[in-house]
Amino acid sequence: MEDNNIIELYFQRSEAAIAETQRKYSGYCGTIARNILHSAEDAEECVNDTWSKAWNSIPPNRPNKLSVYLGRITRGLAIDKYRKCNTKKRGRGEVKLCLDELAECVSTSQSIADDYILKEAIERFLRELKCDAAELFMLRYWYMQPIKAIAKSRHISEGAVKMQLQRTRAALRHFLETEGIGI
Amino acid sequence: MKNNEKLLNIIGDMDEQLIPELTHRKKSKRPAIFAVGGGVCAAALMGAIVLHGINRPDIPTSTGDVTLEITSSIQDNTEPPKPTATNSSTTIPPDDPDVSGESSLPIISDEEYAKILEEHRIYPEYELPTKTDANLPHITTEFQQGGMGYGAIWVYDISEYDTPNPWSEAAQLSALPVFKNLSYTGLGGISIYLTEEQMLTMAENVASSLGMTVESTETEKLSDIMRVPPPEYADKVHLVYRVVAECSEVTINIYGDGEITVEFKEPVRLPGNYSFTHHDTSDEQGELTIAYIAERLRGLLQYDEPVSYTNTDRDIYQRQGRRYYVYDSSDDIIQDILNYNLKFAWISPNDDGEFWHIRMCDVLTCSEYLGDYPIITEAEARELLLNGNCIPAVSSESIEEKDIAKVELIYRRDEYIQPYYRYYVDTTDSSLLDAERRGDMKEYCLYYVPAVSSEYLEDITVWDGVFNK
Repeated sequence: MEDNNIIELYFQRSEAAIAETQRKYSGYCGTIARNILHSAEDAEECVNDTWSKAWNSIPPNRPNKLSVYLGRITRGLAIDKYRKCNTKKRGRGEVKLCLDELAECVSTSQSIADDYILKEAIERFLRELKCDAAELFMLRYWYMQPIKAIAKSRHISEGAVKMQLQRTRAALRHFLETEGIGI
Repeated sequence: MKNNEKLLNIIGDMDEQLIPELTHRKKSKRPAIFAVGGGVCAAALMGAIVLHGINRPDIPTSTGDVTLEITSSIQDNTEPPKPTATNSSTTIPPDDPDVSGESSLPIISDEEYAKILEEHRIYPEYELPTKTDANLPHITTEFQQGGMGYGAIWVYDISEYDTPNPWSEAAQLSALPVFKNLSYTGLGGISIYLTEEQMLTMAENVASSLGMTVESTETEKLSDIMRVPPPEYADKVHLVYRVVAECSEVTINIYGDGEITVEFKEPVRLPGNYSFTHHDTSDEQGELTIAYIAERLRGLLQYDEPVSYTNTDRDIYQRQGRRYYVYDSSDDIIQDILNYNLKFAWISPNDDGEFWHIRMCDVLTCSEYLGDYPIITEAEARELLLNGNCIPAVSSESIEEKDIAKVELIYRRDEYIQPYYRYYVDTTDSSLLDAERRGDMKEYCLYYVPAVSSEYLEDITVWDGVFNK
């Protein structure tokens, strides 16, 4: 079913909205959750909570892009669960790796004050990047895909992915320094 | 909350337009035929073509005689027009209806084009593989010797020499593919690889794509062009260097490395609204003309995304020469860079402004993919250049940063097909061209720094600056 029609079901408060959303986006949201949590059980729980949150937020929200809207909910829920469950005990997950990598971009001593300024700055930064570099960055830090999965899906070597991400993180750090944000 | 955690959260709130689809990127529609690692490239088995061992024809190679060679014809001085590029979406004006009784290039319908692709594909399709093996073989950077010309260009201003090279430092590429050149012989630009049968098939397909028929052929072997081959080639003199195919209207040359030339026996006069000259065509005129020719030759070029462009430089008489190119661009930046350098056509006018000659290549169809090699940044390459670690090698005091006018990343075809940073360095003050003849022209000498990270390179070529060996 087209996304517009699914959204209309939400506005009509039809329970078919959940069923259609589940049918279309279970795999997508499940992938995001498993990248972060590495536990099928926890991931499933997050995905189920995603449908609930979607039901409670549409309307009034009318997503432009339903996949991203749902993916954003799942991502947020999964990260929250990760923090609560302390997945360090389960070994290195992608979240910890991503946090370690992103630590290269920001200072550890000075707090970044304004979320909105940072958000707007990073959006500008990503828009100025070449498409491939921006895409890899988001696959890694929005979807939190493992390096191996990114390399496979983009038909490039893992080394190339790592090096590209490293360069982008360095460029982001330089960009944030230039903008005077949190460094 | 720590800053990195905040950053991770903020990334989660990015504008949805910045969030890519979570799908597998489809591979290029060309099927994979390269071998990974050792062994003969599968493409060769399918009649692939190796490019002739000279580099892009717009730049004289830094090899051969030290004497200066005129690289473009004499012309009257004109204001230096800005080179421009156009893609296939450029609107081509209709043929001038007032031009009557003169030949032109025929229009190919979409149905005819589809049939040509299906039945007379000239170069095999291919797809770049991805090698994840960490054990990349070491490669050399030895430049193929031979050829004529001085490694420099003359222009009034470096902005005259402009090309649609898809590379830029902003691309932030961290690795690029490297290939073994299967046609490389080390014999001064002579490339040997394809069999006679493969070349004859190619010639037939070229003719058919032009709606013509091969009437006779002639084969030229290594023994025909080398009276005394080197000892290592003594038992290979029977290998084919070139096949010449004659049609009623054209002569087709297929070289052992896969390069193709087509010469029209009767030059084709273009409709009156197109200017196609070496020296008297403006940027705008050149753009329209090459787009027109590329469209009419699409059956021969067989490019998915043709991009046509011209560029200019000057000869020792300060006369501007224009060259016309088409290459098969790609949405993928790396494929775009490869195609710009290795899959293109060079289309030439005669002195009367008529179309008569085309040279085309698809180098990678006869190469062996070795892997994606990490590359150094332009900044790192620049430092090497300033320290004299470049080709040709110079002393560390020779090049100053202020003299670096331009840099590009290009691919060279020697024993290995690999990327280099090519620097255009102002050497006007030490030019071999005397000041009177040089006038207001500036001379930019070309220097190359291997882009592949040094841990994968054997000895970097150290050149003593002498061209004749």
